[in-house]
Amino acid sequence: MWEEKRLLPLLAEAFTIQETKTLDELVDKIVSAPVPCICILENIHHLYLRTVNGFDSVERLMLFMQKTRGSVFWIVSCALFGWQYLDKVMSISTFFQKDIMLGTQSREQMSSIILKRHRMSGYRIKYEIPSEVTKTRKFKRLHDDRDRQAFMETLVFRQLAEMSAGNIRVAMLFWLTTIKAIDSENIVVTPKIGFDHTFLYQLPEEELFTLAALIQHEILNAHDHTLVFRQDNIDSMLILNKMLSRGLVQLQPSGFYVHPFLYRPVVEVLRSKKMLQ
Amino acid sequence: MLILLLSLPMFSSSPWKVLSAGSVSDTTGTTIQETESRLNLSELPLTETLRETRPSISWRITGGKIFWSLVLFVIVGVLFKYLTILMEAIAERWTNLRLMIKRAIPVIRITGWTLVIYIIIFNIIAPPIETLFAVTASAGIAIGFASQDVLKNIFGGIMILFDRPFQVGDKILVGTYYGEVIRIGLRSVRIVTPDDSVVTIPNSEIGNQSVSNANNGEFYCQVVAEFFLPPDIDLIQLKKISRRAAAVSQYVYLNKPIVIIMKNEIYEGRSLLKVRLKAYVFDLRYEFLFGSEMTETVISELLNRGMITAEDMALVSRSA
Repeated sequence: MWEEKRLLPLLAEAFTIQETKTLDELVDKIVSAPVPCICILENIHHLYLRTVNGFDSVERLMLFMQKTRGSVFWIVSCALFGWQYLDKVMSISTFFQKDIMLGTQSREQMSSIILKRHRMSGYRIKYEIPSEVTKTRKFKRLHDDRDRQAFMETLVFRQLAEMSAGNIRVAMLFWLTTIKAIDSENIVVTPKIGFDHTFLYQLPEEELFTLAALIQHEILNAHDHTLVFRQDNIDSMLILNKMLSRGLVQLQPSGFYVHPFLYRPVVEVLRSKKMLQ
Repeated sequence: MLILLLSLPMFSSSPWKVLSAGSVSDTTGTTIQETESRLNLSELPLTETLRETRPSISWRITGGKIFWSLVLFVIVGVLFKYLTILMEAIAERWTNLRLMIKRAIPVIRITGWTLVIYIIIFNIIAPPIETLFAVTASAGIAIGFASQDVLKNIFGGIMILFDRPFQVGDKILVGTYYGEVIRIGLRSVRIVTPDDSVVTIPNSEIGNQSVSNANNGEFYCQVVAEFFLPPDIDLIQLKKISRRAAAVSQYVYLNKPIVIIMKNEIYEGRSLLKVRLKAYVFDLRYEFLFGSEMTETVISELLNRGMITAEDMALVSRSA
């Protein structure tokens, strides 16, 4: 989507205005419309690519927005690291009156969302109690089974919130990994969430730089990877497939993206090495 | 007297037995017995007499002291070696603490060795103060003459630690040598050059000339990529391409500005445009890779767009 020629069909479709050959023509038609409108454009980070010519679409979009600001109320959304990068390179935040950073979910909000979804399944949740928890003083003071289950529920959701760093989508995925067994009435949930991600510090440089590029773009196909890193197509395919086979990235039709479970640890590692600023 | 006191304990465990074993004549021809009778010493056994009159030796260097000094040297040497390896491993693991830990290593080594030498001299060998003064005075003169240069280097090293013109992890230019400081010692400083050569520079030499520090304790440093281009090139596009070339690099540190400086220069009667692209790299270890990437990106983009041709580059290189 970073190629400029794909921007016009995208915007024409958004405004349901066909038969326009240039962006200026589209601007004229929008400005001459009798009724102003609101336009929401999501994931504008897909409009750029970290190459010398990879910012043309974003620049044209900003210009388009400036020209139509009298007739259109623009709302755009962008991935955090993509936004930060664009802001440093072309001061994108100065084109908007206000930028709102969406915060993270709290533990209470997360547990509320997940438990509400779960109630629809009809199963009861039974929390497994590992031996190391039964030895704690707090747990020993609880004699009622209901209190103990409530204690375990708090523990599980505290760990979920920590592992997911407030991201509800990742929290849902982690929640699914906690399901240990299912019987006719109950789902047994284990409090052992997460894994040791210190191996990320030992990754070779080319993989770390690739992860940094994936974090900035959210998703990259092999051809884009070749352009970003100015290397041979085969080399890009080899690096990406090597990372795919080790579970560092996942693949969907539009490209490769960082495994959701590894997103926060990867960001942490890249920040510690100054690769993400 | 000093030499006698030092030599007798070292070379003979009980020297007095030799004299008490038999009658040895002195140079005048009289026997020891005649001498003893004249001195009224024959009433006491010879060894007792000599034991009472012998000088008291309260201190001596024994083999045991030398042994334990060596043992301590070896133990501490091995300990410091592994401590250095451990600290460097920790420094590589946590990039934020890397420079701080690397700077602490030479300080810990120098402090540690100073402490060890103190313990060996004052606790193990433990000479009397008079001995210490005497040895120091006589040795000091000899050492002073012989090791003027070494002392200059040692004092230079102490001044570097206190004055801190650079620290471990900094990239410095001393004379013709440019590289990352890997060790600051009492006698010399070691740097590793971009060609992976380790250069040892005596501290006295560093103290006598200017030192250029590229990053001054920070992780990032400025990198300059220079191009010589034909003067009729499209300057507006050139500036945009140059700025983007720096901004899209995987090594760039975007919290610092990217600056482009252009200058017209004359070489062999021909006017050339000298472009200096200045940007910051996020980790000074990638300094040269960053410079290379910027150069590669700008030149290839200018060629792709037809803003320069291979012939232009050849002409420019001949002139420059």
